[in-house]
Amino acid sequence: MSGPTDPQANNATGAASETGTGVDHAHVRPLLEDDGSRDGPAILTWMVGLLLVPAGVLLALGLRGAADSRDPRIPDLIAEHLPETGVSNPVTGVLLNFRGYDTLLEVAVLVAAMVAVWSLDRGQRVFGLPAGRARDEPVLAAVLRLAVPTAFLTAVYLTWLGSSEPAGAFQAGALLAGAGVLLTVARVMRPPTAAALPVRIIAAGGVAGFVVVGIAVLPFTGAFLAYPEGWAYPLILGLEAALAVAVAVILVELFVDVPSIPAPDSTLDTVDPTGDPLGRALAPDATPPDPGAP
Amino acid sequence: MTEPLTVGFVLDGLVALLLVGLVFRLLRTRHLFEAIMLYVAYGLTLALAWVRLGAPDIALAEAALGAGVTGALFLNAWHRMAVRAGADERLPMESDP
Repeated sequence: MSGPTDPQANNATGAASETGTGVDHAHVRPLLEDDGSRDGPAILTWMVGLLLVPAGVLLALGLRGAADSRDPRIPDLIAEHLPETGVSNPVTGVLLNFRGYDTLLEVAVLVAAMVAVWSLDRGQRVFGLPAGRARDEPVLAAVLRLAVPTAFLTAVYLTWLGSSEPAGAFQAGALLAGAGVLLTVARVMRPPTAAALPVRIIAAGGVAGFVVVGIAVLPFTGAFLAYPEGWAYPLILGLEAALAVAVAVILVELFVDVPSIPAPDSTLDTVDPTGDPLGRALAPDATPPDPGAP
Repeated sequence: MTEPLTVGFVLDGLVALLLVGLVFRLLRTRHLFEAIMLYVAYGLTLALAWVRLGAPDIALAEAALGAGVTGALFLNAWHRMAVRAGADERLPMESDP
């Protein structure tokens, strides 16, 4: 995968801000290790804790009531109509057939999350080990060689297994993403940014596939996402495969564009040393630091 | 309760107690790194609980997403903060070649 965006362009400024400016260390350290100097009175902590006990009891009572008020016909209805869903695993039957809308919106939320993280992007995407370091780390190399192919194979298996056993696209996508994150952190793979066209296409592919299938079945069944008879199984399996890949790509992109990456814009350091991009919006008049100052 | 004291019952009880204990430590700790480690441990224990409840698919998602991906995201952000604070000199963030 390669994208049109060139991350190299920002590296020079990013490296400069990393080493050359005076970041106020005192502002970051309390976040890493709290010395307790800013604690409120201990009695307050205990009072909040005591208040939480009745809240927990109420929650437990509410959950009990919710379990009782569940329509007792639902499990039987699902079991009765399961053969019509095209799959034999009731969870997949509900998620991708009876309640396809829910899954469609779930994937849309994931895409929105990726766009949100993407919008926080600081322009430089360097993290993990230095390039080529994985080759010098025998344990890491061995783990990569064993874990990555296993994860890929298991992901394919889980996608297929979802139609009959408890598994599915989200689990498969998460596993794939785990392998992708491992490869990225070890600097074996360098994923393109979320701005790259292939990433956009694959990430949107899950939602788009759902919508296209949902509309395409309209002339045959007259309802959105109501699969025609005999077509349910292949359609669900195809959607699951597209979803697994989309979920994996979106999750890896959350790592590529994390805003914890060094700021190319050194003025942000004076606003908020933790690199919170909101700092720019909250204090737009912050004076840029003298580049030569320590 | 006339519930017989089976191995499964004891195991479930231990998992439940471990979850509560981990959350308590997680809320009380003053070290961010320790909090991240406890969060990952909590996610993996929760996955175990889902397996015991007969939901291996949710267990898989919890282990991969809750413990794995989220934990790695936290660690990534922590590392960034640690380098900025000068607290972790062993792993300098290297600029790309």
